[in-house]
Amino acid sequence: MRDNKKEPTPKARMFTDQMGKQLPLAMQYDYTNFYFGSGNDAFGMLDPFDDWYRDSKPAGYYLYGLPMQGAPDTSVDIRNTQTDEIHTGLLNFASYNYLGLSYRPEVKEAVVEAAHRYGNGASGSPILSGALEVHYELADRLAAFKGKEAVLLFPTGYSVNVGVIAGLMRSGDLVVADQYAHASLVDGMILSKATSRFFRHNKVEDLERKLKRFDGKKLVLIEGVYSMDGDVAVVPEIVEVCQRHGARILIDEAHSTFIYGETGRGVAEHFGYEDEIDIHVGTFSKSLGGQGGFVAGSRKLINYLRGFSRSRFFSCGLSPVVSAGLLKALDLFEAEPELRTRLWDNVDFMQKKLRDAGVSVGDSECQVIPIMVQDDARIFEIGEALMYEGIYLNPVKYPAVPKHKSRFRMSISAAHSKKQLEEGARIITSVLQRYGICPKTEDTITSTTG
Amino acid sequence: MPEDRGHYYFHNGLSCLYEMPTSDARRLLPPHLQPLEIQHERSILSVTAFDFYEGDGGIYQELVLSILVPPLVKPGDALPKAALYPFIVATSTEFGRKEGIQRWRLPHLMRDIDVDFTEREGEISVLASTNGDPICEMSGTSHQFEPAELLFHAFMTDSTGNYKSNLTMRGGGYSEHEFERGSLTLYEHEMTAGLTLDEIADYPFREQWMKGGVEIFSPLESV
Repeated sequence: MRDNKKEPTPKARMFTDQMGKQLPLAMQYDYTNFYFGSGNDAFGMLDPFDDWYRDSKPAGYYLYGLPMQGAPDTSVDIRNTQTDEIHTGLLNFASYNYLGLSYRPEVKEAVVEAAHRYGNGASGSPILSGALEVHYELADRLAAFKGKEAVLLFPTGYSVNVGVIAGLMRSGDLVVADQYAHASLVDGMILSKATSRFFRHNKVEDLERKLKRFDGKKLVLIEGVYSMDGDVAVVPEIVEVCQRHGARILIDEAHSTFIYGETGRGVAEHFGYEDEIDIHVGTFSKSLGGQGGFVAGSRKLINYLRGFSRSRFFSCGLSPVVSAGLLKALDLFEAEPELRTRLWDNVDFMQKKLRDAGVSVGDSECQVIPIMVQDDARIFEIGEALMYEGIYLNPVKYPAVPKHKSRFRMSISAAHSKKQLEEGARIITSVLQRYGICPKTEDTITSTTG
Repeated sequence: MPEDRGHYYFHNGLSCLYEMPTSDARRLLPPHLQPLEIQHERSILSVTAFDFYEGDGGIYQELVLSILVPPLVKPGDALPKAALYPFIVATSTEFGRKEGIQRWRLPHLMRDIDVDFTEREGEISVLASTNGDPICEMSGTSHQFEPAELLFHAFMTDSTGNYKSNLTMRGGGYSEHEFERGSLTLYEHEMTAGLTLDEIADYPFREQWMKGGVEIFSPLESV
């Protein structure tokens, strides 16, 4: 008899998570539920989304984009948009100011000086009136640093990938990207109208399967360091497969330029494959602490892209103020090799502290450290707890990462002191222990810095 | 008075999602539906298997191949977890097949299939075949089981029109994850004829496993 079947009780406005805790129903949904709507009104999705957003924001989504009150230093003041309270002196592990250059006095002075000379903006496209002397100087310096014939500057890191891929590849060509490729690489593929394929993360056998089915122009897209997991592309294997199948390679070194390799040129240098990779992309917003991006390669490649990268020449040129700050940051980077030494010391210190305490950090090998929480429903609550305990870290949850792979993406900087790192590790461990996410032990996080 | 809704009780329901070419998805979908893309040019194939032990269709096993599509979200309505268009269903009994065709207007393979479920600790595998000819082998794994009630929109199309049913999955234990631990092998078969097999991922990006559950179809609505 059907009536005798025991059916679970339907859910109410709250739901109970795996730990028996009541959570807002809004947390069962996310942005993916609102991508498509029915009907013929382009605004048809606004009301359902708004209903959800009003519920979900206090439930944790408010943690994104909290206004910082000053420079992205290692200690920051943040305004809580829910309470208007200012959280002062939070340890900042959220900004990707890996070398601490964005707020260096020398950089600020260069910025002020450039503002006096050039004013605020470039006031034109870089192929028209928006080309300034400071741009040429920055491009030449970068080309010399990367050991490439030429460099082209872009107003954002995003626009580099979009402009380069769509500038080079056409309908009927093939573009294959690692499945964890950044959105800018994916959007470049879409805009190029080339056939798009994705290979399983760092799995060269899958890449080969995709390449060998196709005759024609092929471009493979990888990243030096993957931004959500902090792991590194298997460059030698990828190069070998690409060479066998006649595919060109683009490497996006947004998170690895100025960090990896003997001279800091990136993961390609680290593996000794700089000449085997055709297109080298970098950004100014990470290690140099500015804004914008660049592509480096042969003179012929750069000249071609100068004519066909629409995201560049239909944008205003890079701000001269930022460009001057970047030149100074580049000076500091080259003059102070100890910055990288300190960064890697800090990375080793923090990785060891966290791993020893039983915190899961995935396969991270570098300054991008995912603090794996894996509890999609409580990631915001944990983020809030961390903030109240004194740490600023951004939660990352589905759909930015797969379900049950929620995490905090931690960025380590050369500017962090050992004391800050130690305190950060202590707080993270203690909060995760409280939530049963990492094991409790008596002697975790023993002070080594006094 | 007969119940308008259809109830189908199962021990195990395994549904895994795989990337597939959007060109295949568009070919298989009716013109009023668009595929949901997980990546540019990559749509989502859902392979689902049930072992029903009681309900309106009796005792039978079922294999369903669907394409994920956008749900029909309307202000004020409950938000569905997802929406799908089953483009081919196969059952192990004629009774189950008739139920699916006549009541829910689902397209069916017109012969019985065999579906074997093998459950081990934290893993379940399914082998579907007709007279020894394999259709697919699928395996899925668990994360954490907890009670769940999930709403889906299922779309159907036949010569009489286009329909939607609100599909509720209610289970004493439901596990879902994206750890990419399962596998899929699809074989050349009448049931897989519309698919470019070597372009379909051989691992799921999402694995959904429900135990001790019931699938509830609400009456069809014209769309």
